[in-house]
Amino acid sequence: MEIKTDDKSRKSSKSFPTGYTRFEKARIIGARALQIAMGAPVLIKTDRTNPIEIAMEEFNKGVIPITVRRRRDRFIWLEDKGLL
Amino acid sequence: MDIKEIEKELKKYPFPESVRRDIREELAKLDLNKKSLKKIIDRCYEEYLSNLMEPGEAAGIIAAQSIGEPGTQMTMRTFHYAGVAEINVTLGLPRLIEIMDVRKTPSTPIMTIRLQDDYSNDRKLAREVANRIEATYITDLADISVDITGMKIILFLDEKVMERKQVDKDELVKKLSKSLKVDVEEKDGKLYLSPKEPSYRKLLQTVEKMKDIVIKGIKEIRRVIIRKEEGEYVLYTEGSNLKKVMRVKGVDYRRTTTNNILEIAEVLGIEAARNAIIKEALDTLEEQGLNVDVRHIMLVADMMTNDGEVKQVGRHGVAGEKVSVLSRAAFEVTVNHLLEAAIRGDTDNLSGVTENVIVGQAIKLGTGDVELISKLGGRSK
Repeated sequence: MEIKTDDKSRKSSKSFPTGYTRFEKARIIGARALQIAMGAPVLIKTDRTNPIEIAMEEFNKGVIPITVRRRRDRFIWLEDKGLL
Repeated sequence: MDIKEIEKELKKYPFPESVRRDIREELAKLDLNKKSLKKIIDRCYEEYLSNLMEPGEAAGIIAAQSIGEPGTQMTMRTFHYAGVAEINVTLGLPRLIEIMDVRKTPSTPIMTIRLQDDYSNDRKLAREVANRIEATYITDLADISVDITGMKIILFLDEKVMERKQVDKDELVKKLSKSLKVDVEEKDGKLYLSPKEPSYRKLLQTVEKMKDIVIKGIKEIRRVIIRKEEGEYVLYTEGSNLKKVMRVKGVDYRRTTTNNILEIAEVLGIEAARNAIIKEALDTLEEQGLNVDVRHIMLVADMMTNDGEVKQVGRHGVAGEKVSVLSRAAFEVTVNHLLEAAIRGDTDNLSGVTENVIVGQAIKLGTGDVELISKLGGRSK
């Protein structure tokens, strides 16, 4: 079972976690930084040269084409308990 | 704004009960209109969410560290006298270890017995209940001497103690003759016991046997101390037998507890045992002036009780949990574990942290537990 992981939809819903967790954020930036370091085209205009910094800037702008899959059986969702 | 309205608004949010109570109390003090009430609760909810633990967090390790670090500051051996009542209680690290190990009986079993309404305010009635609970032996009530020529045991009864302990003489006579199978004769405050079979050996055996008879009270309860606490008499006992004490007349069984966790599990069930673990662990830590968040202890208590019986947590983790060969091998006696596993032809599912570190894989924790997928469709902004 998959859940919508689009950042915008998650912020409006009351389910937890609302945004990316810090682990997810680190993982996404890490993966993107690796791509950039290996020569992938950068998606933003920037003066930075450090791939990690570029990845972070891309993340903050929300242009990284990567997201996470969350499985229902891995997390406890507050909505599932009929609390909302 | 009345409480009902606040409650109605709060119910829309999935707060835990304790948080909801705190917010409700605070809100009741303020005079708010509906709009600002909503705003405040909304803000509270935001704050609550930001304080929740994120999925992927190593909750167990944080709990272990949060209990372990203050644990190093605990005094190694402390024997403490609980308040004025001179009951000896194991506290500090030994007690904490005891709780985690789930010993069959704690080294100092103690019960806190509260009394029913009409008993709790009357010292005399409280004393009566205490007498019903405390184990009384013949040596408490009488001096024993043996008359060898007459083949008799003579008991010099102490009337004062008899009265204080509320032991009836006729009852005592009945009890002795029944459980020892002797003839009992009474003459001016003395009891003469003569075994049916006149032999010197039998006589001495009877004396020994007599010393073990519990005349009154519950065998396990060695001592009862009455204390006045918050306007009511409370009984503290040395020794514990929850099942029997709860049945004693005058005891308020709802407010009576013991520090023996296994006994609570047996009598009151596993949920009660979980609460007992939390309470006991927290109390021992707090007594030493250490503040550990309940939630860490709750996690441990949950792990110890989640399959319906109390399991111990030792250095091998929670007992009875299936441990992988590799993680066992990483801990102690590496070669033996590997050899035995090889002989048996064991498999390892690489489900734990240690195993994955050994194999060189990402562990299923934190960053390692995130599954990436590509987000197609280009820019979202």
